[in-house]
Amino acid sequence: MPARRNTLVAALVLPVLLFLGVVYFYPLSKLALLSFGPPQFTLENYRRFLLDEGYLTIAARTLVFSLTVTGLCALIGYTTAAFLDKQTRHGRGWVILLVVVPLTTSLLVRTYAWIIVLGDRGPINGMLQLLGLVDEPVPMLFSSFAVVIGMVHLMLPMMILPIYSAMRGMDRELLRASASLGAGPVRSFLSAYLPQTLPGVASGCIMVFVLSLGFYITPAALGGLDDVMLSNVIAQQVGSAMNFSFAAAIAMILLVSVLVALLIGNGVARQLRAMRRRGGGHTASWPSRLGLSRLVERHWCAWLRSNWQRRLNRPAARQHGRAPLLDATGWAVLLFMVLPTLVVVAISFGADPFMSFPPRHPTLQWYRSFFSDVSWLSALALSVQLAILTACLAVVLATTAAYGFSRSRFPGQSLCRALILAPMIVPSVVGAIGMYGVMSSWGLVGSAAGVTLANTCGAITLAFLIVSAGMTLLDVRLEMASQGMGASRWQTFRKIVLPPLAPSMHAAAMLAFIYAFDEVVVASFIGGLQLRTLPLRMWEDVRNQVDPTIAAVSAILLLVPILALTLTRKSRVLVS
Amino acid sequence: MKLLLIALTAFLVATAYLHVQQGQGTEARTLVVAVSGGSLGAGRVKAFVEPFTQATGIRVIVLRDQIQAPQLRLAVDSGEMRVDLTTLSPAQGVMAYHDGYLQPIDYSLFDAEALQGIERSQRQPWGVGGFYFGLLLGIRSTAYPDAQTGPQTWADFWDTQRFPGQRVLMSGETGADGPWEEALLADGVAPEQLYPLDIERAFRSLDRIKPYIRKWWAQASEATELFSNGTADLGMNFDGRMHALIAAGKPVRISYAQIKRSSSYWVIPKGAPNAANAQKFIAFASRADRQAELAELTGYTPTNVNAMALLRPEVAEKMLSAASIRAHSFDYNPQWYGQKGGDGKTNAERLAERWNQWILE
Repeated sequence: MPARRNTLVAALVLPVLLFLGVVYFYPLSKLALLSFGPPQFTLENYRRFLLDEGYLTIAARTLVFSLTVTGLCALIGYTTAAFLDKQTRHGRGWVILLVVVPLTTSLLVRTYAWIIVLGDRGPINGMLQLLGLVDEPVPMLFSSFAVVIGMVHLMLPMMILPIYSAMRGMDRELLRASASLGAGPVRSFLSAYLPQTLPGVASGCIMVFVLSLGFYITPAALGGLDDVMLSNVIAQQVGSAMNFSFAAAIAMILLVSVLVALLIGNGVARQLRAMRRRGGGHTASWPSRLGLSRLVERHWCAWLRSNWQRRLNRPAARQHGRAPLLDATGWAVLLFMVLPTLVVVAISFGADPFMSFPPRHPTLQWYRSFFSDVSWLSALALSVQLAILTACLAVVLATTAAYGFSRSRFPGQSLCRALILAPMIVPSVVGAIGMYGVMSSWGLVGSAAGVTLANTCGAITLAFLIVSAGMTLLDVRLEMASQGMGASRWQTFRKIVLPPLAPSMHAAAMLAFIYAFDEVVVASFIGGLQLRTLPLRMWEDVRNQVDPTIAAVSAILLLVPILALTLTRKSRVLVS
Repeated sequence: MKLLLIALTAFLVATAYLHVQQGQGTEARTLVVAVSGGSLGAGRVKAFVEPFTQATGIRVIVLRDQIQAPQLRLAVDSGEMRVDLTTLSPAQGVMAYHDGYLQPIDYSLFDAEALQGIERSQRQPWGVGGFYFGLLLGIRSTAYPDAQTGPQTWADFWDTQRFPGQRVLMSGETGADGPWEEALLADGVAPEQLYPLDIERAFRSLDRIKPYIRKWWAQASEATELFSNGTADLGMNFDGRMHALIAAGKPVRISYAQIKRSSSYWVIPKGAPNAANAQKFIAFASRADRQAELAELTGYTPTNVNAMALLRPEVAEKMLSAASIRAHSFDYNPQWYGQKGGDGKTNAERLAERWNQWILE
């Protein structure tokens, strides 16, 4: 590739870096400075945390929770992914929908749904008593057990999707080869199936672990007295002690720990890849880049590539072996995934002004109260509008950057990639406080533009991971050929690059939309005191009482992913 | 392509909508009030906002939201304060005033009636009590059908032998709000001798009840859900929430024996653009007739005692100021929580730190 072209293409990563630099990293670094206690430099905030046995215990507890959740998600997620993988082409879409749908039910509503489901007089205890398995209700709520259930529920999709992608992209010839060479099912699994999917597991584990470290609403609502995590402490320092600099210090400690965890995860992944390459090297080797993004990309890519190839030359029908145990587990997990959603939908039709299950006296009054209240409707309109703006901005920036990264080499590339992932790693309350100061000096606090810019940071991370994955589908030789035959760079981009990239861009836009739509922490700060989005409106309403209006809102919101997925599927068909 | 078209249309509609909204925002605004959400917000609009506009011609922009203390501080610090009037909990109010985030209240604008009617403790330099709420012992009546023989005081709540059952208490994580007074009452401290709170004694008392508490709730909605779904047999909850549960036919009742009475304060943030109108609004909302209407609409007790005479008897008898209830309630003391010790920490902060250690013990 000519050097000049390389430089030009490399320049495409600049917009995203510039954007994050100005909107995210500049504010974050100001906040980091605050934790060192200006005007005089001091390590007091760090000392206070690191020398306090209580805080360290909470830190350890956070680690244990995150590891437990990651382990459970890996185990359950792997089984579920295998189950998804063996569905027929037609059924798969709907089964995946069942995995994705809970992602979009507001965190708040889902947490209350678990309080109902796991309650002493909830459906699970009711069933156990009905079957005569127990006499007294089993106390499940307000324990570490309930916290883990709630967290696993939130994190499973993040584990299932990458593993499933790895399975889709796997070379099935190897399985056949291993079987024909006389390996039994266990041996085949261990030597041919598992190694091919391990990188998917690794990337899922890293994502789940990183995101779990930042939990605080779930442990507070579902846990017992000592089920406290670091983010609870951060929230407490911000919300009641007003000690922003101490909160910033804890956040910096959390950030550094996450980075360390990522590096370790990276090292492990690198080992796995090396093992895999020694073992066979059947997949196209990847240019060496930073771990997490590479891992995620790898699986999205593998999945998309396999989709692409399938469309090109319809391969032979896959085996749909019978595996009753796998089926049973798969369906059980799917039931677990949709259970809170089902409960919420049911409650939204009940007349009891307190959320109660099972609902009695069917009514539409909560839907009426939603549609007849202008403040609900305007909050919904505002949220949709902000989420669309955010998704557009994020996808454009992320696509540009992904193209730049995949078509050029430059020093510091892996560092730049890591920087794009940062908004997903830093706890959002910390990012939000940091951004508040800078945004207010620009007059953007309380404006739609401010919230959009702030939310775009996190949305970019998601969109970038997905679009970069799609990028690897593209054959660079086609682009060269196109330009060689006289097409301009823009024409090449439009005719050769864009069409196969469209599905990834749609998926990226959808996730960015969902992310921005449900976001509540950043919006509560940058939205100033006037811009009230739908999730903020929901939070305000449940401060005193959880009334089924928010259940009705959640039921209405369920239509968003279903419509989005249907549209995405349709447009994918159109594109191909 | 179709998706692209849909997205584009949606985007255009959204942008158009945005313009309309911004257009509305630039009209001359005369007072911005955060009234909270839910039934309280709706009640405040009817009882205060609408008659205020009618009486004064001042246009009020209503935010059906509550402004959290950290957001308020950030907004004041950055000169972004666009809200003229909001509410804070008493301890947050005291601390915000000490740290210079609130404007002093102008009591010269108050009617003679309101000045006389609003109880002295509710007329702080930094804020005016808007309504009273109580933290009390709620009881599931299916667990303890007889009000006479069932648990009534916090000492009864602590007596797990005599009164078995699932218990819930408020979490002390914020420091400023927690089961501190209740723990001391259970340990035999007289209500009038609670303050200054003996922190160590409170935690020693909490030690005894700790193994029996099913949930330490942090939000009113959690406490209410616990009573609504039948998890809690005994526990701390707000009076308004318990009345709502009773109204919905849930089998719960209230013990009036030892109610902790506190209030929500109107405050004017530093840098509020229409502070003068906010002062007028507070004076208006402190009148007996206005507070009586809010009480009729929401069930919250007026801070203006003159309002009591204007209430329907069936509403008045449930008010925390009703003579029979008031005789057994004690007042939360925000001043104590906001007091700073030699190390610069407030008592609220001290409690929060002790709480963080205690939960891990």
